Amino acid sequence: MTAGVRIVGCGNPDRGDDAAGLLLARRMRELGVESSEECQDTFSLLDSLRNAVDVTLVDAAVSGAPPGTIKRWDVDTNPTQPLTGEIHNITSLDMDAGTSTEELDCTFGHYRTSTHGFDIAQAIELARTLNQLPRRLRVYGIEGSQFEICTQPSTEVLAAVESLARHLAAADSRVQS
Amino acid sequence: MEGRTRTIKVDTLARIEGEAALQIKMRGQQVADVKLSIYEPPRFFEAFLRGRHFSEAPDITARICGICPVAYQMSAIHAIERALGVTIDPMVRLLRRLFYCGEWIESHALHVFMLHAPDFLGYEDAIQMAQDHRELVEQALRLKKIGNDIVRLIGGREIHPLSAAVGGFYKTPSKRDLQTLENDLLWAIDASVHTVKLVSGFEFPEFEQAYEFVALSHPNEYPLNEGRLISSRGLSLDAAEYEDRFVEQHVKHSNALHSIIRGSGSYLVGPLARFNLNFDKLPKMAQEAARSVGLNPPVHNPFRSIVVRAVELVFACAEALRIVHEYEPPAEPRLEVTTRAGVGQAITEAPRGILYHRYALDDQGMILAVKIVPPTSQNQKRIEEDLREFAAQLVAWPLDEATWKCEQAIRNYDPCISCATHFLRLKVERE
Repeated sequence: MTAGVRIVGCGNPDRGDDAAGLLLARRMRELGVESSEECQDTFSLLDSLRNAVDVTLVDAAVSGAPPGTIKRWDVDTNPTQPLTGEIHNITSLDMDAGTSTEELDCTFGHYRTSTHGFDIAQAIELARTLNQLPRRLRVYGIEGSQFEICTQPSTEVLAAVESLARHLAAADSRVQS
Repeated sequence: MEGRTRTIKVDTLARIEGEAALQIKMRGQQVADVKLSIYEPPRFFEAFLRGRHFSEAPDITARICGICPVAYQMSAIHAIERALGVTIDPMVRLLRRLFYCGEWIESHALHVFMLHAPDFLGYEDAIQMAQDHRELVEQALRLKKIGNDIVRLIGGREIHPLSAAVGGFYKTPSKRDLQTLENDLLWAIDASVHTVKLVSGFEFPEFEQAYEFVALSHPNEYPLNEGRLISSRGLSLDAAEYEDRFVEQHVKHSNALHSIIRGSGSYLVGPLARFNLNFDKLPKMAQEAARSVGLNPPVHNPFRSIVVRAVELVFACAEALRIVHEYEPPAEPRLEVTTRAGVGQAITEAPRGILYHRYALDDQGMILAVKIVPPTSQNQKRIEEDLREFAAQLVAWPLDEATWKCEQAIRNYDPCISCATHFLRLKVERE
């Protein structure tokens, strides 16, 4: 992986589909692509963004879409609505059909007001306010449906993790070559 | 106004750990009802632990809370060590105290700056605040990171540390490892003293209550891991006597259990209680920081808890530096423990207040029964009582301002709702 380029999987390993980002990071490493994991502390996420050129974050999302749906938010070109965390111009990523753009209300991570009072969207906006965003930042959300403590991720999310991991690994190998 | 009813309803309280909701019903100038409702995933940890080996308890209980895992590990470990008759190495004791300081630093820094200060400065959240007070937010993040670094250095990682164990630690740092913290801690002490001055200048509502404060007390130190449990009304007991005097009650509107003192009622745990009951045990630097801004015990205004937390930040940073200087790696990082049947209890001071654990073990070391009483559930009744009194002052305010003030009153307690619940029921109602 090129220096300053990071892939970070975010989530909670103990809450079902909220493990999506972490599972993706582990799968990326199996596929030979460097990646890291960020569990629960959105403030530590700011460290992942600082001094990086290109960052990809992956987390569970809740937008009402079918479980396993993958959506992408290009942060550098598209700020959130302040305060509410609503995100517009989300790109739906269909590995076969390509992409389409839509506006929707999407929460990354299970709770809008998450473990430390900040969800990922708000942590990113804090980084933007502090001029600590990387030049390129995209967030992939994998739609989850079950977040109860001590449950396993759903089969739809596991399939989406595999699909997205291969997509990102292929993109990484194109960059490397 | 007479006979008119209005309801302040906040379905999701922002800027507290976890989720909760608040309903205050007023009729005319009287507060008719106050309900603080907890919505959080179920905390069946007391059940999870039954049938597990005692060595698993630190890892399992750490997952009760993402912001105070060290507190859960320490209460669990001390309770189990008591059941097994373990006496730890003095350097292990010192290292555990440093471990706890790390958690206090990151928890208090997060709350003071990112969760509570926006209320006093008139901002919706810390992002808005960062636009006008960038240095303040950067300072907060740096302080929090220093706390996280301490926890990671000793525990192996910041969230759900790995190294704490019954009998000691699986791995202990070298003296040189800890000395890498020195420069950051020197900066952190100055930053904390500055924080005391800053937050003491906020505008605080005139609101005081006659609390019964409850905290640990130790003859020689500001309490973290050890001490007798005392109160401002004369209580003094060992952890083994806790359940004789403290009772948990389930309330219909909340998923959390309410705690009361038998024969007395609600009580308050956390920074105000510790400060009021142990001021003389604070290091001189922290006492001076408090006195310099006119903060002297007893403090009865919960809105001033932000200043008390800042003083505790000074304490935690100074104490951490002291331990960094005094530490030598223990001869035995972890004692081999002889398994036996028994019951053990312990109380330690989580950032939010006393955290009680009890474990019953069989002769193979398997856990038979567990009781865990988090600080926020102990404060919940007191929070409702505060709101009942405070809401009466807000009768003439516009509803949205009154609502915000009630939210702020709850944030005084830095409630860690995610560890104070035992089952889940989520219901959102809008009028």
